[in-house]
Amino acid sequence: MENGPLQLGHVTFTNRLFTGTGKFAANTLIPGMLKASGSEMITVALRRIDTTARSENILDYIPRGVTLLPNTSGARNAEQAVRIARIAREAGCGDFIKIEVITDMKYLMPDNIETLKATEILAREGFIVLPYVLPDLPLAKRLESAGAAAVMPLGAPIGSNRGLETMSLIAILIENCRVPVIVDAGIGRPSQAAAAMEMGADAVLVNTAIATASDPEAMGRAFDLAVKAGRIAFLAELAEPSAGASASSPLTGFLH
Amino acid sequence: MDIIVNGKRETGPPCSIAELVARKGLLTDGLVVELNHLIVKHEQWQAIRLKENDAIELLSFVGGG
Amino acid sequence: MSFYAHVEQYGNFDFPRFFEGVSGDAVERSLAKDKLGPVDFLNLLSPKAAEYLEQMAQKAHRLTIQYFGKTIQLFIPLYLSSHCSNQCAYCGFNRKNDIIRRTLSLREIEAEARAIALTGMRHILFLTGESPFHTPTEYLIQASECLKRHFASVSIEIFPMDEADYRGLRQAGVDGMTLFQETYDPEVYRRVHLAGRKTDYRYRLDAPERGARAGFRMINIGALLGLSEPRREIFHTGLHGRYLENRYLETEVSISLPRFNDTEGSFKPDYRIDDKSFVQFMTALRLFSPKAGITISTRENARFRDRLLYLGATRYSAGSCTGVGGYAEVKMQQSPQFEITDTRNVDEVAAAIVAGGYQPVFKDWDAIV
Repeated sequence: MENGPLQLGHVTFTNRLFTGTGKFAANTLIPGMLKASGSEMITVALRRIDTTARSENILDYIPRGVTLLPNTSGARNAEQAVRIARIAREAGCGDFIKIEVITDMKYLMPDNIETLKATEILAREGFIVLPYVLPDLPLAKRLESAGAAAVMPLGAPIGSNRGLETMSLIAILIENCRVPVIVDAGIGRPSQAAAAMEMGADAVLVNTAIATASDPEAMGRAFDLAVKAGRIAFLAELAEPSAGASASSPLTGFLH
Repeated sequence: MDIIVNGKRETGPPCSIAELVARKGLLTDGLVVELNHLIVKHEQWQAIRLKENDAIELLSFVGGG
Repeated sequence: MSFYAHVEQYGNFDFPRFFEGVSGDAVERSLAKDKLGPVDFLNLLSPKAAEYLEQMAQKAHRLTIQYFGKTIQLFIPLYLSSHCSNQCAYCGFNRKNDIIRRTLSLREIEAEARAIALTGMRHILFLTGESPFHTPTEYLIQASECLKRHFASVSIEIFPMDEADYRGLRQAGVDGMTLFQETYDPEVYRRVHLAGRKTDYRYRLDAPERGARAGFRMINIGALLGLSEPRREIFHTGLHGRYLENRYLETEVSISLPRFNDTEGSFKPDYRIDDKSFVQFMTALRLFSPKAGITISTRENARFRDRLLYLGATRYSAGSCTGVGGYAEVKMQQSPQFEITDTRNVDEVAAAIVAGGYQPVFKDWDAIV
């Protein structure tokens, strides 16, 4: 297997680190971070305008060529998520949508069931759906059938920076999902991003760890390197002996 | 005329969407307008006049994870 | 204290009944474990486990790489003597066999050593029959000293000795010993070892331990597969290895799986071990003892040995001659102890290992003291 690009929908990504615009001390840090990290897709959220204050347009800080990934944060159910997705597309954001439906305000756990419902609707409407979920294999298979472009299991609860707490469950998804697996949430350090990639994740999404670093540009670069390192390591492990190996029993097929 | 803007009841003179936006001093760049759960394209803000009890959402993209 | 206690413990164990009761679940449970106990080992040796062979192989493959990397230690055997006072039903050197008997003189050993050293081999295993008259302790010590001058590591595969004798050899430069129990079943042992000192089952069984106490770095054990029911033999071998590993922490244990070739002599073994079973036994051993070496000799053919690289093997003999000497003067008439089927020379074996993605190791270590 070569170190090839990642295809999501109609877009080809050569960089497997996706980033987010949330929690930056200042939006002016975002362009530098994007350049340093080489990230080709970044999340944005949709909110009611605060009419009492001068608000910035986050889109001003995202250079052309970087794919926008609006998320449905704020949605408490599938219906709201769908609405946000449609608004985002209408607003010219493109077809990508990260479905994030959180009803649990204590731990910020995604609501898998509402997320599945939203995926079913939005995929049919031609969105490139990236659902953010708790790792759950049967659910992931349903998301696949529904037309999700990827599955985005959380590594650990949002903001917890606990790394890959759900590692073994993510591993199960990686092994059994046909669509790409993008680890989102919980990655607090580049080494954790590398670990996710080493396991075989197709990409990672990192927001908080970069945005809240003292030097987000440098941290963005660190994550970029970590993701690349993890990916190369994963591919390096794949090379296995063959010579007459049968696909299902590579080591003992010759005995039959 | 009473309308609901971003979930809050407001009273004001009858106007078009474009006028409402201007009155609030909002930049149109990156602004998304939803009227009664339907998105209104930029080109139509001038033409559409608000009616009593219309619910309008003024949205924009912000930083988010 | 002796491994015999284990053999006795399992003397009346109903192996067939146990194997019959092994379910797929039991095999899977044992496969999933990191530390296997005797029952897990038995589960993996059962006929049922053959259905899980690929999984066993995958895990064995991973464990071997984890503990040994992708390397194969190479060694070469040198027979010093075919004189033997034992009467082992299955052996080419059986005293009843009318064969050419030779014992190399020290000068001849020197010549052989030089010839072998040219192949690049640095680990040598020297073998004899059992003839105190032809190969007394003093001779063995001198042979060891001679070979030690040419090779980084000298191992012995000779008759069982007292601990004091082993110490003597240790001092002369020997660092390892190979000794096959042939069969762990005392009944079968009695039946196939008809006369000579080899008839002493206990003395032989305890010899590896004496070697470990004498300070040999490496002990290689095994059963001659075919003499007795093989699953049991592998079971006992594995437990024997664990026994030694647990008691002698400074000693590396390796395990061989010598099995009869179809072409071998007139002796017809009661059991035949096919390739599939061989692989099952080998991978089960690896899973039971992740750190034990697994030695594969030239009894196994080239094509099979090339596959075994990925199935847990860690040591290969190469360029072997199983007649006496045979390296310095290849034209000499030979009466081999067993038939070699992998007849490749050292370079060919090394090349095959490299082609398989592994590194042949000619010299693993050197004694600097």
